[in-house]
Amino acid sequence: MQDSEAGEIPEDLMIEIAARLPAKSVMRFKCISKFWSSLPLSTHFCNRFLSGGSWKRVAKDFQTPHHPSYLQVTMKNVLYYLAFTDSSQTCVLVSFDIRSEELSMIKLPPPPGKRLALINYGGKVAVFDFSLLKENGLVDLWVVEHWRNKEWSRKTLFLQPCQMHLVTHCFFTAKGTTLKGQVILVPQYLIPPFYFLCYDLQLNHLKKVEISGIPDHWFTMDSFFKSFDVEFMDPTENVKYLES
Amino acid sequence: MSKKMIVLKSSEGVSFVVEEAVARQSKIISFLVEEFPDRELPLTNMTSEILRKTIEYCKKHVVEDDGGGDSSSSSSGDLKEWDVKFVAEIDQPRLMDLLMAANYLDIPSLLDVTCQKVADTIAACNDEKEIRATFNIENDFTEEEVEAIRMENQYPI
Repeated sequence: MQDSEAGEIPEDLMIEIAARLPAKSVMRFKCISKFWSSLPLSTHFCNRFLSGGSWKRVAKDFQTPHHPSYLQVTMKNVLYYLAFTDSSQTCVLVSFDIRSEELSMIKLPPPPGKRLALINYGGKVAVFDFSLLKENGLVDLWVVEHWRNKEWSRKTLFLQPCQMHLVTHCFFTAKGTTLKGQVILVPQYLIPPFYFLCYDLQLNHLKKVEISGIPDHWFTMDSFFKSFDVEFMDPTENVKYLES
Repeated sequence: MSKKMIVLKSSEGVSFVVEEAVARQSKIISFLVEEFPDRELPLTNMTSEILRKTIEYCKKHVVEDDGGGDSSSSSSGDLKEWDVKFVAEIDQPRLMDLLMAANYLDIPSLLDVTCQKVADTIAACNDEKEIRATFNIENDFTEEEVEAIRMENQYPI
């Protein structure tokens, strides 16, 4: 191995190490460097963290056993994730304060749809339900207005008829939000023309972003052999670097 | 019955003859042994010292199949204790090298114990300065930025 006194630890290993730290240490050590300071914002880190020691210990003592799903979002040092409870298989929204290691849970008011995402909606955590986007051109936005009072508000958005054609040709999955709070929707299948959508919830407007340069034979490939993924850089991390 | 041996070569060109079952704890070596049987495997980014340590770990953790089903060479409690001692005896820079070797060779259990040891070391540090010094991390913040983070987290300085 290279001499690590001079070299640096690769970032993926740093995440492995940080996921084994007590949560309080992670927040305490945000001052180490910009990379460390960006840790609690990264999805990859959150995934590792939920499988690591700190969260497990707190969750074990929590009155309601539950299984976290992959749907999660981090806002202001609080990690939010959707989970199912052990006993009733009820879908719940859980908040885990990374600093105080406090766990809190509220029931999801909507019957959980098949296609959900957790998003940061203007500083509030919200469940974005787009199960009916393809068929009916509508999405439901359930916003947590007041956590302790378990207050939710519901907004139903109907796509503009002139934009319906953008969503009818295949199913989409949600891939987080842009810096401006637009929800990124990525097609589930690799079919031409290949594009993803940025859904501006304030303006109720879809922006189409076409990805060109995909080789033709990728589209014609037997679906048995075909597997693809679209990944976005974590925008929150980038902005941290850019602003400095 | 004689055990199958394979040869691993360090960056200095030193050859290590290892039982195949021992070396196979590395998923990478396991794959290479099948692809290139009867070949010496060059590990050009591992020093002899780190390779020797890695082999020592794998030897201890090898699960021997002696016909009577799987039986580890040590009980799991003993093994845990041995692991703790094993990483405790290694100095910080070597520990990082070993961690990267475990990552490179894909030996999950060794990666786990080395990562845990590093995490414990970090948690035991008094402040960020000590961590930076221990791990040779560059401070890329300005004073104002550090101050802003402290305010945000409301930690006593």
